[in-house]
Amino acid sequence: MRGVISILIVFTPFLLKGQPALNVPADHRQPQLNVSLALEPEVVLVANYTWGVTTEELPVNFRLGGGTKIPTTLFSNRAWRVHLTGSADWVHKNKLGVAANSFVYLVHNRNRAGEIYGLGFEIRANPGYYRPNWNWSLDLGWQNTFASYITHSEETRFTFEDRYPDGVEGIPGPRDGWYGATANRFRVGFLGTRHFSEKVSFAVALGTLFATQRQGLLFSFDFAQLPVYLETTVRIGL
Amino acid sequence: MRFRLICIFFLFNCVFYTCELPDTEHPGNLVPPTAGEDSDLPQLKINVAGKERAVHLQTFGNPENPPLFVLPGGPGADFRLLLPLQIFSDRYFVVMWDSRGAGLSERVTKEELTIGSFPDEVEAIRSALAPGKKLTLCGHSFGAGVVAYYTSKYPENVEQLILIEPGPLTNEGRKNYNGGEIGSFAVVEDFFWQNEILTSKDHAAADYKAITVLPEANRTFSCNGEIQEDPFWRFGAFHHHVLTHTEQAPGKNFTWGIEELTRFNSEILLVAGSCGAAGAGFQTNYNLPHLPGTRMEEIDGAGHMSLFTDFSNELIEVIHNYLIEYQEEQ
Repeated sequence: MRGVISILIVFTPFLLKGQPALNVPADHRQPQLNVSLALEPEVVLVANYTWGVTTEELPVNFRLGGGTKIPTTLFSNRAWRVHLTGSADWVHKNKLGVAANSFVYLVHNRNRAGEIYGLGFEIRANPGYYRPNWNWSLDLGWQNTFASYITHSEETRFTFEDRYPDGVEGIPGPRDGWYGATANRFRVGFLGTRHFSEKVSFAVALGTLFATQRQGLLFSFDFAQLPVYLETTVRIGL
Repeated sequence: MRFRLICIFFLFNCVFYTCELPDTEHPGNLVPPTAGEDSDLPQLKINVAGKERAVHLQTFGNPENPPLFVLPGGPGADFRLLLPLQIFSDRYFVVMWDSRGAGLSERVTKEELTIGSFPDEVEAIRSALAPGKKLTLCGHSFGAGVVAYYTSKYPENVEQLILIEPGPLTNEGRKNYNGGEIGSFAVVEDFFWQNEILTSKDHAAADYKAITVLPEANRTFSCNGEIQEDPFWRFGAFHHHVLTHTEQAPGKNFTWGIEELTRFNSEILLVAGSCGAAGAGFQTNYNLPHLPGTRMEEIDGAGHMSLFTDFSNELIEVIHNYLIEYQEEQ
């Protein structure tokens, strides 16, 4: 597992010089703006700016860029994510193809329990049927926040008080600091894209977004899981 | 090329370093460890549903005094909120504990958390700490349902019964109950956004997330929708999940054995604040009609949690009067 993670982390920035997953514009080096509104199931707005780095001779289109993902709690909780992104896509002459997106991100949140910064990566792959005006594909993804720095709130510290009889020192806590592998979740869904012109396309993805845990997949509010997502994306060539 | 090699070397080191970072599930990192993980916690090992488990348990007073068992609610909560009731240790042997899988008690499997296992849990603790003695039982919220259920099964083992704002005991009550609902869009958004950074690998992370939502859920139990002070150590999210979201949750026809409470001959005390989803209004309309032989005492201005904080003196006085009246009758 360590090896797989290592290879992904190390080579992702080099491999993911890419093309947006969902369409192939006429000019491969044309800058693009992708704006998504999604339910994951929280409402999030994602914006990415990418530019092509592919020469005409290559069969694979690569794009690089950066972007942000923000929920509705941006101002109340200072909740945000910023990322570097890379993508690649390739279509065979029989119209079967695959597109892939990758993100390396820094994410932040602050609430009653404390403040957390996380570093992670996300990979999404879309194998499917690609036509000039539309495409259908699977939407497969893996997201891993591999390191997080947690600063606990006074409210969390209070939960550790008054647990022991007088004179017993016990186990102290909570512990502020770095933690490894704090989040891990998977995405399985379908993606449909309609290209309206060489510069504008619209995509819809729908599926399940879930985390695994020792007790099994518990789809309930208690575990912060409502394992569905719906994502709409507009892509504009600039 | 040299720059890329330096980058690769640097990133490899970063990745291996993050693999060695502490785990959020390690006892004491995010949430206090359970009795199964921390032998310094006051605890008792009991055998229920075929498994021996360590429950977080504290006793107050002389074991020779009549036993008073106090159960918290939730499901999933611990007894920290109920600590003011230890004042009865001057006349009673007060026993408080967190149910298996809840609070600071050892985490358990889904199979162990059947509704039928809860009277067995009370009976196991009675056998260990007050063998052969009749119990005075006091339960709050979900815990009130449990003590009512125990009394319906073992009326001969119960001396007195105190129900503090029980949740809905019948299907009609269940349909008209909105206790614990989270009305804040921002809190729900935050709850799900956390998955970008922290997912629930196991119990600790899931229990940790309760810190953000419990205060919001408690708004429904207050007079004006304000957040009430609710001291707790750790919430059992899995315990709560099993007993509210699975087939093991009390079904619509489950009534906590209240039909059988007629076998219990003493007066039952029901205490409710005047505010909130489980307050006197709800109790009068939906629970009290199904509890013959029950006297309700209303505490003006109190809510589900503030009964034990801002209004603890009034609560203690009401319970004290009930206990004393009974003792004088005897």
